[in-house]
Amino acid sequence: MPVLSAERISKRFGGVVALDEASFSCEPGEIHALLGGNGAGKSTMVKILCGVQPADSGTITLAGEPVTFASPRAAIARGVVPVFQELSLVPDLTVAENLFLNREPRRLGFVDRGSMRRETSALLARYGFPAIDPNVVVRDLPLADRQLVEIAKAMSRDPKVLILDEATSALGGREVQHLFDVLRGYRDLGKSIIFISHRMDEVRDFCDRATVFRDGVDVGTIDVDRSESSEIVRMMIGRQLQDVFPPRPARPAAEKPRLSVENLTWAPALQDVSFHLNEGEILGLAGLDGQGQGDLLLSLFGVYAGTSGVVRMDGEQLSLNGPRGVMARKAALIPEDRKTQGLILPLSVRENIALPVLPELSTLSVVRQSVENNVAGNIIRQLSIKTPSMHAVVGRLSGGNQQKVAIGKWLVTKANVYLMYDPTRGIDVGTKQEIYQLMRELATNGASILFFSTDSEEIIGLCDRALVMFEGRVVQELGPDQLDKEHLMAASLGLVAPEAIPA
Amino acid sequence: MQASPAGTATPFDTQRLVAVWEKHKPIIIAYGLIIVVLIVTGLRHPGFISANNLRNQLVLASFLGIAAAGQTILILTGGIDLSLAWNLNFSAILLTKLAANENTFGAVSWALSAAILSSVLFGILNGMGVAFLRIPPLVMTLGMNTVLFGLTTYYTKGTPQGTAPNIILDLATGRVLGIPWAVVLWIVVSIFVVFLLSRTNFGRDLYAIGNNVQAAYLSGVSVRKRLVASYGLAGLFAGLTALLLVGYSNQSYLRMGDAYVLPSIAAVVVGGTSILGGSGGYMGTIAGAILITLVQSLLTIENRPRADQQILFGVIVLSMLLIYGRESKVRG
Repeated sequence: MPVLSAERISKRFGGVVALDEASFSCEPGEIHALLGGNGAGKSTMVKILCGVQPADSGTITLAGEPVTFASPRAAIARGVVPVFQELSLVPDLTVAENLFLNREPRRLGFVDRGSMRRETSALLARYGFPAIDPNVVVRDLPLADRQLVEIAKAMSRDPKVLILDEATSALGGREVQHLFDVLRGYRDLGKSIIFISHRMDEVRDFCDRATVFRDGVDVGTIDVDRSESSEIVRMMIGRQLQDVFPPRPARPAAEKPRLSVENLTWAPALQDVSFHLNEGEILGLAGLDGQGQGDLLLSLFGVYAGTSGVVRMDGEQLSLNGPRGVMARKAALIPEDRKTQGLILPLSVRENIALPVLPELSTLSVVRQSVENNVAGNIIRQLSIKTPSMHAVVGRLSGGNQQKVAIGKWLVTKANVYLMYDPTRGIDVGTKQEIYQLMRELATNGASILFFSTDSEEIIGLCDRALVMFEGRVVQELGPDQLDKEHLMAASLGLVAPEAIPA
Repeated sequence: MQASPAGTATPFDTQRLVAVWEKHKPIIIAYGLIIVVLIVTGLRHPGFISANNLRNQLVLASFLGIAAAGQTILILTGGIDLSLAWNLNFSAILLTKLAANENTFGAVSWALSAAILSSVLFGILNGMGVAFLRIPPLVMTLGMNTVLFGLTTYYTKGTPQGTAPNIILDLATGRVLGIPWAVVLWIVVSIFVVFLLSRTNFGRDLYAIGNNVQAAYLSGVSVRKRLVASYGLAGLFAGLTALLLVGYSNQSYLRMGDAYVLPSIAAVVVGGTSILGGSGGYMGTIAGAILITLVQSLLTIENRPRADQQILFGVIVLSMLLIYGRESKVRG
């Protein structure tokens, strides 16, 4: 008997059908993947399963008994515990305080901080994350560690069904593997895990069965081991995937450097970083998570005060004091988190796209609305952004379309240098491919892209060269003939001496 | 915003109309409430809805409305101005003292410029504290309010002096074509503020800052410059309110700004601007200012004590905070 099953669930949002009599079921002791592109309905399914939203019709059965969860709290009480992509930790509390939020151990009526810390340490160790300090304030943790704390918090409730919705998208490869080991042990205790991820290799590696959703309907359930990736992807998108990455054009005989960085330091996160980025090149920025790649992009965009070193763009020194000055030299940053850094969610698609170029769209400070509409309309068409209109609120678009807006707003600036922080994180395969295509087009038209990705496939498949960072340094540059998993992994683990960088 | 003519409406435009209604619902409700209050008051006190009294109500509303213009701008950025009371008061006192009962061109223009410059300057100081020292707006402006209170006491030694220059008397009590000058000034201010917020890149930057300062900064918005300018502008409107109040009462006195702090915030939130910043606008504040002025007058003619008014404004602001605090700004 399945531990959790959903039968003929339907859900509409206004005129949009999110789920149309979709069903799936999860057996005890099973890791079950939900697959599908953006808007396929899997996120809605998850929200209904764990009581965030009610279904319009259909039945949810928990261990043979029909249930209706009025709230996430009710679902958690019955052992259905979700971990969402949007982090739910309180940033200003410590790891221990977050784990025991609302159920703090007490002594004489007061919170027993000592035992809370000890239990947190024990818990983190049991789940295999002993490196996380229970006393650190969550705000100061890297994104990956925050996500691990989130997962530990969910597991500490001893769920029957653990739902991981894009919970690995912030994690690097090593952490994911580690997490999977822990979760496999959990499955072997007879617990069930529902797993949603855009990373196909994770699904292959980790899941037993998968249910594929498309356009609000369950297309089929498959045994992961017995299915080809191409078959799964075909079910997801309804068509055969062509080459995932666009072809790499040959490099010109004489490279023209666009951006050259010498000894850029922002202690302790960045140490003597030197490299150059050529015209028309996609330069990968690889390595494990949190090795300074994000800080490198932010410091090049002028966000950090107190950097040292010399950065030249087109031969002239670039002063790193604030985004405005760097933008004036035709650089753009697509930041890590589209929800808090890349976009202003409550504003419209049009307003978001126009924001970086408002001064250019204005005469005597008055925004020329017809020009603005043209600009926004062009970007929406160029990137095929799915939105009811350019006046729709960005926060209501799907993740992939939000990301397109976050990228599109910089296309308007006609930048020569794009600094991209993991631009395909948490979006569906189809949109990813469109973004790869777009990046290659930009490069072919002469733009230079510094591209950080946590996905080694992307670095290998898309980039002309790659820099591998480890503990704030560039430890290796990989040319086209070295761009493979072995070289990347070795360099990422710091197995290469820094002297090996070709001058 | 323009609606497409009937007959050519597409589903696309219907959605937009729905969006417009959603967006402007609080404003429409506020204007509706004005009519309700007028009807209720008119039934109980027929004299209240005479042309003469309504004109007078509009003059009173213009004082609050102009003060609330600055408040609207700041609340949109996620800030607030608690220094309004004494910034206004200090300007008023400078004006009457420096004009020193003279109506010579020199004395009056000197007094006027000093009054306005002072309010703008203290506004800019607020803005610099918020933008550069990152002092929370609430604390910064509350502190500035106390400083200004001290300055005023020091400067007046407890007794404000002088009267309003003639031009200021005319501004506050005179009429042109039957319309009070104060209302004309308010209309000019309204057009300016509405245009500034909705059509200029300055206004658009303020919405961006109020919604998400980090994303605004990373999109190249000059956050600090915009903040300093906003607080300066709020100072300017505090100064303009001071001119009108001095003209209206033909003097300056201590605590003359107190009655405008909470009502100006109430006018902003009643008009549908989010107290958390980032959404709303001055069109709503205009309705809020009129509504609150009418309610104040109604309470006065009903012989309710001032305490009732204070409680009412406190409750309005707090309940708006409650509503906005609970409604998540946007769905994931």
